[in-house]
Amino acid sequence: MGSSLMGTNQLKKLVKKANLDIAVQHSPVGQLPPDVDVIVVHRSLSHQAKSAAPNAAVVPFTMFFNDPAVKQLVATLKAGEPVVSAL
Amino acid sequence: MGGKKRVQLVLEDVFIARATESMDKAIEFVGGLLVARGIVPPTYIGSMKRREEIASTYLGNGVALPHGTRESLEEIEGVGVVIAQYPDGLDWGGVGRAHLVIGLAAAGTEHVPLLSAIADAIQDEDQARMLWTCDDAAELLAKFSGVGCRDNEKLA
Repeated sequence: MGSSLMGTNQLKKLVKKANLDIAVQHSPVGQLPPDVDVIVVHRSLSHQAKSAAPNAAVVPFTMFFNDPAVKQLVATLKAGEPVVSAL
Repeated sequence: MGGKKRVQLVLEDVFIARATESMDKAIEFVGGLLVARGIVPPTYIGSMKRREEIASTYLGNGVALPHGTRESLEEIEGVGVVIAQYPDGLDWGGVGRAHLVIGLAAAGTEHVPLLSAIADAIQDEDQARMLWTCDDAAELLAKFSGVGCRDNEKLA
């Protein structure tokens, strides 16, 4: 409804700004698509996300704006490097 | 406000210069306003507090966006957004210091453009800081409505 939606939009913007052709979508942790590659998730829900999609790289964040983990993720994607899961 | 009309903030939605209080009290304040407007039942306030336990709604840059859990969606009637400003800030569940507390209840998606405008207004830390102490509710409102009087938003 609120903060997570805002976080999704922020990430979409960053991905677009970096000219990356990567789909970003919002999902409740209980409804993650099984084939997701990278899950950007609030720290307190990161373990739940990992068990829902064990093969995905999990990037936990604390803040919806200017979180270092999210900045790092975009830099990694831009460099074409693999995303390392935090869990 | 019915139908798919774009959600706009009005002066009555903005409460400036509030004295520092606890996170729970701040949630009760903004949640209480949503209740008083008939948008949510009083139980919604408990849902807002629960949501903070599940995952904090602290956005960063001194802004928190408390709202209910997914389970509370069906008890929401329409859309409500209220903004409380705390110039001295308050501890938001140990995650950060909140200077702007934006209480939200929205069943659908018609509030999403407003969320985007709010995001634009606070994504730059210096600009966000000005909103922490801005003592003119109308100016705060203008910034959050995406019709800001400053034109340097393009810099980002």
